[in-house]
Amino acid sequence: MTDQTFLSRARANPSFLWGAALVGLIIFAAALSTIWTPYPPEAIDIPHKLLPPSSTHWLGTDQLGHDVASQLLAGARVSILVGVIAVGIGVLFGVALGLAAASAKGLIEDAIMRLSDFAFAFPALLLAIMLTAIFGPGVVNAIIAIGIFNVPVFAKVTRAAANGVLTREYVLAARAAGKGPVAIAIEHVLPNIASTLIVQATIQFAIAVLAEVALSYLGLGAQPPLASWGRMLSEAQRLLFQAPRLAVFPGLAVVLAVLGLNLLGDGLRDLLDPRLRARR
Amino acid sequence: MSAPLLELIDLVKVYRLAGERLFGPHAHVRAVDGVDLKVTAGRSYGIVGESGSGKSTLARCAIALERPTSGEACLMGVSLIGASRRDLRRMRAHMQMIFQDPYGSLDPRQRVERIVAEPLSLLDGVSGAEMTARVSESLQAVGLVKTDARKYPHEFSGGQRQRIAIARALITRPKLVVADEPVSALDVSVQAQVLNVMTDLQQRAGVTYLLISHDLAVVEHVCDEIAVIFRGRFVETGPTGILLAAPAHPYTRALIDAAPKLRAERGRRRPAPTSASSGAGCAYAPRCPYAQDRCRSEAPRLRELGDGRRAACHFPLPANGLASGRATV
Amino acid sequence: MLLEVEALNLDLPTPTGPARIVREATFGLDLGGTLGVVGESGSGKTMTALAIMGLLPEGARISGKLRFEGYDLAALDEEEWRHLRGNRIAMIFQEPMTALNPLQTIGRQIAEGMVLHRGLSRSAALAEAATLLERVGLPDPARRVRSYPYELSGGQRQRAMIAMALGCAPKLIIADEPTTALDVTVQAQILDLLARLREETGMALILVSHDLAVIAENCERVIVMYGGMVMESGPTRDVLERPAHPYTRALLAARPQLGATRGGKLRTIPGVAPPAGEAPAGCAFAGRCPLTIEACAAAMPPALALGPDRYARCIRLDEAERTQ
Repeated sequence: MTDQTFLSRARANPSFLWGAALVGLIIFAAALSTIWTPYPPEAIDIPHKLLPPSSTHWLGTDQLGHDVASQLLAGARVSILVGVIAVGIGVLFGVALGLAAASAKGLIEDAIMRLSDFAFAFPALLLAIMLTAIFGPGVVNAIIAIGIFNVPVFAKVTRAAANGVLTREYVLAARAAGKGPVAIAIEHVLPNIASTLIVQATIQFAIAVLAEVALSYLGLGAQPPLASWGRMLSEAQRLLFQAPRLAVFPGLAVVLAVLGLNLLGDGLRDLLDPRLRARR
Repeated sequence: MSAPLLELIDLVKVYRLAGERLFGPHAHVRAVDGVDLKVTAGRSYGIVGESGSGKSTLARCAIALERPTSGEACLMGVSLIGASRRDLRRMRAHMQMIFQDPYGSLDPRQRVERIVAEPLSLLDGVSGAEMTARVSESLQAVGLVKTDARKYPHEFSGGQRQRIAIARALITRPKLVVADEPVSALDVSVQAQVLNVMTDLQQRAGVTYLLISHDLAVVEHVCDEIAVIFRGRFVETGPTGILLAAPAHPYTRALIDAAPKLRAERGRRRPAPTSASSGAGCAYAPRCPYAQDRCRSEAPRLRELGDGRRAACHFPLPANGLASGRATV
Repeated sequence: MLLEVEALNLDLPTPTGPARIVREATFGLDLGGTLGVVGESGSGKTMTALAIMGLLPEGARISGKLRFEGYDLAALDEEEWRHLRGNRIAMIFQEPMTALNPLQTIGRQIAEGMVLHRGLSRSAALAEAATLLERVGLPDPARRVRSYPYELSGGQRQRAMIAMALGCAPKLIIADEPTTALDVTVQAQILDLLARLREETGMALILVSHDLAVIAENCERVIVMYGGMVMESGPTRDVLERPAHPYTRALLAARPQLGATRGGKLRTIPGVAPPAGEAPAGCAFAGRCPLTIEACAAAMPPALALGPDRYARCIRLDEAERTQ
């Protein structure tokens, strides 16, 4: 009964549908780029530089002759990768810290929360720049930097949601039965906050994509010849009046990705949370 | 004579309230203020009181969910306070709890079989097959069927959920079940179903209850002994029938009078006088229509009155229900 | 007659179509009278109360006769409702904490109605609010007027709600489970308060509760609801001492009584009460009723008169009489 109605409600939720469609498109593009692109994304072809869209180069070429369409597909791969790994790091460490804070209470909770506040106080971008300045530019370091920033976000969200669940009577019942705090956190708290975390993850994914774009734009993210939307935007800046399309295409890709993720998050929030609360 | 099933000796639980100023003194609340309790196996015990009386706190201390500030709690002669984590866990097999809210006490994300098996899963040496068998046994004991095990809590009504909670409390075959307002949140006809399950288990499975409730009729139906609690202290204790037929403490009398009855005449309730409490003296004096000077200066202690009854009152009501001395209001 | 309800039907929209929450409800209330509405969850009693206040959720449809002081409540528009609500008809809810605005002082909340309906100035209304708080027995009313709901206990909040309801001297007060969330001693005080106020002001009272004993002590007349239908209606004493309907009988038998035998089995009704709007066709009690026959599920039982103002909806009343 539960899953059937979820699907039928999902079908009726435009936010979820459009979000899923857009995100699906980006994922498809990324997956496709691993086995096929119209041209090798790194291939330089100076004689054919700055061509407008045509039947041979669907979105044209840039100032070094790279095929824009191929670069766009390869860039999707980078964006997805960054999102998945950075959010993954945030979830892994952040959720664990948040659960520990909520379960342990007292000094441990205070310590974790104050550390999170401290991390929050840093502008995320500044943190990322600092880290890449120290460890050198590159996609991997950019991912790590963004991932680190995600940890306090998930720690705070998890702790707040976990606190709500920990006051429920079924947690008290588990304690009365003799269950320890770790087991309670894993078996009772986590499944009941999962929906909140999923929604937060989609939001953080969008933020991660934007962060990567920003870092690449500053030259701190993907390094040549690795294609990324941010790098494409950065290079397109110089040729803005000559060939504005070189900025429009990657820009549009970013917009669609972020829009899709946000819509997906909104849709999921509608589908997951109130339903569970209304279930009585 | 074997050790009592549950014994609480001079149990005290004090809560520290948040301070009003940053470094100022904190106020304290004595939720449980020195309670002695003996529950004998086979004689269910009821605790009656209004909200804020400390009865729920008492229940949680009895089942080691909270650590008392001072005093002793012993299950079958073994101290719960001094026990190690491992010993405590083993002792929990013998005492389980039922909570008030049937909608909150079951994890909505778990199937019934997992919920009911939880206390058993924490004990060593129980195989998967045995657990499934015990879950079925428990569910059937409360009037549900084996196939209900695969369902989720939201598929059941309030009364059925409470029965699932009872099944969970029974699975380790405990000697003592602490029930905190188990039927307060249920409709009348559903209450009856759940109460029948509870008394049934008393007779067939030898379960002894420590029942907390504000409803005298419910407590009377299930329990052999009653204690009336007011502001963290027992003001009267005794065998159910005797105590309710001829209450000695004015507060017990007030509770009985206040309970609405089907064939009542209107307007015979005396309004409760309110005056500030002096600190010393009987905690009930400000509300007591029979309070005298001695009551306000000297706190009464629980005294034997014969018939197994004890009351903490300087002027206990005589057996025919009329007050000794004139009411001061 | 202050309030006349005849063949009231109430439908609420659901994803699978309209659900009939109240079916053919008929009852009345005189000026200054008291009516108890008894029922368990899903019986439709709260929705009936809300219908009289015009506080039904979006999409609700009612049909039948619903008249208050001659006004046809079913035909009022929002403007006319606002004139009635809080003014001639007032309501007290079950959970005082959620019914009171936690961010406003009680004085302000009580004064609101008076400013709105009686055109008093804010300060005059606040002064009157203090008087009302005193009337409902709240100690230190002058200070309490400036208190926020969280500073009061449950019983005190309920008194504050009653003061709010009294602000404009309504002709009718509807109390929906006003004491369920309170202790038995506080419950007694609140009910005594309501009785005293009724004597002073002559207002009528509809008391909605699942507790038969509370109704017994406070209401001259009672209607017993189940699955959206009014199963039995009549003077409280008659209905509770000589119940005619099998459901009323079963409800009375299921209560643990003070003074009854200990540990004995309570007489229960097998099965579960249907959730609101999902009662079976025909008689809502069919199937669970010990006297069910085929004809019970076929059609809604007619209301059979048992006296000048007493009726019961059942086709097996004689059988019910005999099996007592």
